Amino acid sequence: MESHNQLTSYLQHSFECCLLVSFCFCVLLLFISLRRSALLLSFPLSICFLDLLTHSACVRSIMNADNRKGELADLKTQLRQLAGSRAAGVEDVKRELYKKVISYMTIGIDVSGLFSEMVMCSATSDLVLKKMCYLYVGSYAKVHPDLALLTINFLQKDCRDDDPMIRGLALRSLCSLRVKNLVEYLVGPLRTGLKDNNGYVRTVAAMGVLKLYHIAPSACTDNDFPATLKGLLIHDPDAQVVANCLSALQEIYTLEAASSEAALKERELLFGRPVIYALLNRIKEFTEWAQCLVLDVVSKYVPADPNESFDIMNVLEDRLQHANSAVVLATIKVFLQLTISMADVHQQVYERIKAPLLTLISSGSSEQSYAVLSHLHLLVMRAPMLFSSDYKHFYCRYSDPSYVKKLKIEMLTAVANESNMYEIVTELSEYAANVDVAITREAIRAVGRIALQLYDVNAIVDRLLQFLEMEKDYVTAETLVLVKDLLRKYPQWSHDCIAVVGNVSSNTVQEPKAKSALIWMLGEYSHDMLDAPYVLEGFVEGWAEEDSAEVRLELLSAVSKLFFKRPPESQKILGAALAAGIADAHQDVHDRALFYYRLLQQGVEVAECVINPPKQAVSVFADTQSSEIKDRIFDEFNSLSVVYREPSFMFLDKEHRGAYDYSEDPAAVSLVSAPADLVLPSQSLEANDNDLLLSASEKEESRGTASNGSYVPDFLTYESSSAPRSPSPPLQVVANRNSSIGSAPVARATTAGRTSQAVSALGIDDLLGLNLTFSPGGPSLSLKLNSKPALDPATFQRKWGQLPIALTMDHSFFGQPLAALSGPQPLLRHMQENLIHCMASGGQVPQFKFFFFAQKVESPPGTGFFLVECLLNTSTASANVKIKADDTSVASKFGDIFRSALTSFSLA
Amino acid sequence: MPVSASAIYFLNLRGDVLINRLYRDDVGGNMVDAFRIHIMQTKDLGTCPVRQIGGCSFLYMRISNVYIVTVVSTNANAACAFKFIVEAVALFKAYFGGAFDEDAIRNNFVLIYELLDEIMDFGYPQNLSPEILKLYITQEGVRSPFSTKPQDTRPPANATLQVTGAVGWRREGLLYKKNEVFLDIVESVNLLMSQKGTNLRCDVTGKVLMKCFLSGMPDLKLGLNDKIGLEKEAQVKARPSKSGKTIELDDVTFHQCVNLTRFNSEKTVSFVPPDGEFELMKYRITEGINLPFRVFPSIKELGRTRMEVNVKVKSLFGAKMFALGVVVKVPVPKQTAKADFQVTSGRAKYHPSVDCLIWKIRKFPGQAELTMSAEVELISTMAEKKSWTRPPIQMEFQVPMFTASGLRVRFLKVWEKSGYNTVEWVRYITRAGSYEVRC
Repeated sequence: MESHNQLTSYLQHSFECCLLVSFCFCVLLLFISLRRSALLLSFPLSICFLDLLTHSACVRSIMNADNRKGELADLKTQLRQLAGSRAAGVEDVKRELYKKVISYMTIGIDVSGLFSEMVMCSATSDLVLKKMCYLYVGSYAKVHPDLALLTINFLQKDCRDDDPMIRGLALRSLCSLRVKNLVEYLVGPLRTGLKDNNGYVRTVAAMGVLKLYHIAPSACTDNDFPATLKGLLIHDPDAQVVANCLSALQEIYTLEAASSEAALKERELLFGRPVIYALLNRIKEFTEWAQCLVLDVVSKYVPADPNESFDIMNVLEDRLQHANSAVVLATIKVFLQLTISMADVHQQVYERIKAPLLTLISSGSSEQSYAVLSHLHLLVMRAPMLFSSDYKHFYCRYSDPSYVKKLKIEMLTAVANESNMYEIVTELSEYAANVDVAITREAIRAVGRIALQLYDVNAIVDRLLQFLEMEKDYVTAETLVLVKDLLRKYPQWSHDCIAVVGNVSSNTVQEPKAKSALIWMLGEYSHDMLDAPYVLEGFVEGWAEEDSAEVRLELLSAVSKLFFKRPPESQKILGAALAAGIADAHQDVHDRALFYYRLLQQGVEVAECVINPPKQAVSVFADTQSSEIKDRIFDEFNSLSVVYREPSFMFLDKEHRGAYDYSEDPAAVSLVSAPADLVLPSQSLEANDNDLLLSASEKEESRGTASNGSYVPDFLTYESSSAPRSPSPPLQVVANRNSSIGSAPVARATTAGRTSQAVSALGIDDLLGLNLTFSPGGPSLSLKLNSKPALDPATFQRKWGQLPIALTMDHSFFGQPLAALSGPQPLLRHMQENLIHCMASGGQVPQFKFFFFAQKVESPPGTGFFLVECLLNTSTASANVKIKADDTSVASKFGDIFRSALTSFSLA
Repeated sequence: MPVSASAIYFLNLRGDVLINRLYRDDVGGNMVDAFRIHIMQTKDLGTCPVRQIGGCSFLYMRISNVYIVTVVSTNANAACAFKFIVEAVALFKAYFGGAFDEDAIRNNFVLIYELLDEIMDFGYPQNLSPEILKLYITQEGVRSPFSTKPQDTRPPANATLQVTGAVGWRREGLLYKKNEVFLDIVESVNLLMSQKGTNLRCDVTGKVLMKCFLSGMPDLKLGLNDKIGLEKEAQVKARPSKSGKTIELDDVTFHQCVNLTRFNSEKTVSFVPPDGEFELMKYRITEGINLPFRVFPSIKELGRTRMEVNVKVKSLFGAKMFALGVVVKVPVPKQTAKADFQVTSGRAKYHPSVDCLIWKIRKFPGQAELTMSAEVELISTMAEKKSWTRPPIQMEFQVPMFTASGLRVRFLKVWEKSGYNTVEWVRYITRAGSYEVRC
């Protein structure tokens, strides 16, 4: 390339300059060195050199810029010369110049300076030239809105060209200018474009309407373009026009719906039966991409009755055989959504989609398989039995990229059951010998998870123990964590495991998680492991070198447990550990050491009751993701949510939130279309975090608050002066905190198994939040409710649609009168006494659904409302409560009132 | 919302932008930098094809020496986005004729911009069919063919076809002197065999590729010896398959030209083919697969510095057939110094760059048994008993006129209203997909 040559020659030139300059410097230095001593010389020399270097760099960059400027100026003059010329071959020259400009543009050089010249040269009949010109104009019009006006003329002229191709191209470029003050020039061509007799132009025009909407929404709606699109949507003979109308309308109405009620209705109307049927009838005419779009719209349609669902599915069944994976997935989504309320048909749908899905994962690029596998994983979590006979499809290929392998391993874990478990574990063990460390870990974890899921774990335990014999640090580390979890669920295996674990050299275990696991086992089974005291002693001696607070915490607990079982051998170690712990800089470690110390002061039996009570085997490990979240992800099937395993509102920016989801459920809509405050995601995240925290602490590997009676040490400092014999005040703090974040049941679930014995022994049952009672308007609550709030159903509906969820609670009322509820009425009356009024109720035993509302006292009319959706299940004795509030700051207080009102319910 | 891509970038391996096409304003112009800094320059490159950075999702894939990055700011449809890129690349290949790499992009960047403009508008995929696009995007860049007579108000071919309800993938008025159809059944066998010689997993993914040079608007009908198709037909006696067995296809997908309603009702594959080359159908089979090869490896580690590798490969297909380009890759430890070979056929060599002994046999006859034995010398290392995890032995091969699934074409009928004669060519080939044997 010419320009390139120029550039290199310049570079050479500058390099020569540098040489010359450096030569001069050398001469100068020589001269100086004659006069000065050699010692002094080294300093100026180095300084000079630096000088020289920076100097030359400067020169070069300036030259570079000059050079580029020169080239641009060159291009400018050349373009200018060509502008008026009509000589033969001028088009070819122009084309070369344009190419050069575009290539500069691509690599990020600003060529906007050539704008007027480029526009001047644009009078051409050459299509490729035109396209390059359009591309250029589209990229720079935004930077030069004033100059963009120059292009309007020729673009408008091209919009009236005889060639439909040129008309379309020109219209597309016109709409892509994205300059606000040029909107007036856009409306006319767009209107003619929509009526053009050529399909290509109409396709472009339909998209143009959407572009216009993004530049100036009012200009778009004022000119009634959406209505025109609606007409085309039904009647246009060209399928691509219909598809583009559909995408445009969908986006416009979704954006509009966020601000106006009318648009919301409009949208519901638009995607009602007539349009859906019209689209379905033509489905085969659409291109594969347009089919995806149509199918997406259909998946949101709610059929009137099962027969309609079956009709739709019959029409679409052959789509499952389509070669395009996107179409197949979109069809699957339609099928799943249509049958979601018909359990048996839903199951049949799973059977039907199985084969196409399995084909999709083995064909296409690995990125595609990744996307498909993510979806398959979601489905498998819902119906693990379905794929259990096809587990071989999820065996990894050696050449699969790690992200595919990881998902396949997760799939294998999910489909494992009694019949295929042995094969799957054998296969997973093969991966454990993988070169890729991440995959090895993943495989080992998978084996562990399978062991925890199933009952017949005989063979698996052997497998896990074999991993320990592989003598690779990371394998050992991963396995130790798993063996620990396994022992917590199946204590009966302790004998076999401990024998092998005892052989693990503690030096090879470096990872904090693995170390804590090993220490836990040493503490827990110290009576079976002869050398446990000595190993633990080694750890205590290395206290200062131990970086992880998690390990130090675990060590404190383990040494204490050891002490209860083998006091003579371990008294010294315990002393050393407690001393080190109390002197520890980490707050939690310090607190726990102090706590243990004071407990021990009260007597060894008391301490043992708290630190090492008899354990019950853990039956189910807490799930990290709530079922509500999972359902929401399922609603967003065939989107990034599934890949990220998060509902879309968790990862989309707030300004985008609300724009792209679209669901019939008012709650879901309000969730995603909540205007721009972060209350919701942050809260649900927090709640999630809390779940995680609690479940993690149950696994005894959480940050800071691990081990038995884990909540206590943190709060000991509050009450460190009061006698530990009456630990009620700190515990109350815990209980309060838990209830205020609405996860008391979880706290109970976790604590119940572990500490129940200790707790009952100390008689602090009530203080753990098991039977919290608050009276409304009690001293702790400043929130008072209006006794006669006025709210009509329509306003309730609207508010419910608009407000974000301020609070969700899961409340359990096991053994309380509420569990005997046989109809909604008694609860309604009871709640009314507590100033919480009912808007609607329904359901029968065992499931009830209520919508309640209440108003803050002395708030202006129409504000200060709390809206509640309450799902009661009397058979599981649980209530799921969603609270929305005008004023979210008092929502949690309202939550407390609500909860206490539920608790105080009695059938009398 | 299927895709609504905000931008598409093509980058080379160093991260230089080859093509950038912004479709929407909702992402900043510096998205490439975000990709370069947070993905390309980190270890994460290649660990996950979908990444989220600051509210935007990056879906990227590498094709030869080019990264194609799709940036979306919405909850886009990932499967669709990847499929779109794959299809787009196929389209570019159709235009440049073959290779898709950095050089091809640099040489054709104007054309690519042109195509990107057509195949996606404001982030929504439009028509990607090369057949239609070639009507109005010509490499020479002349005015579109349907505008030669501007007075003629004939709408473009695309619209015509749509209006008449005819087929969008085929032009009207094609004429060939000689009407020919080429049909290839290409199968790849995937195998994973354990040390003990049990089949852990075995399946065949097959494609039916066609090349049509047919005049007019022909209607084609393809009959295979698959179970469903045969059961549907009355004359089951006319099975051509030697063993008389029928093939059970686990799953089939078809090119959009195939009339799926007819397939579902009559179980015949009937279609109006596009002109030129295309993939008619894909299928997957897991039952009753005839493996073309069996591998019997034995690897013995003799002390710390020596290894003995014995690999016996047995061909199981008919004696009259033969396999071409057979390659057996036997992995060896990194510290391998050298290897001495003895082979009954072909050539073997140690390739240090891939840590493999590679044994190549140009022509492998059917019903034969070939062996390679090698003495491998290892450099002794200080690492005590750093056990070596053995990757599986991999095989590559092609067996013409053999289908691992046993699938056969029973008939291929061409019907056109002018009633010309056609010549049909049918070929079969079986290739190795991932053919792995653990040792």
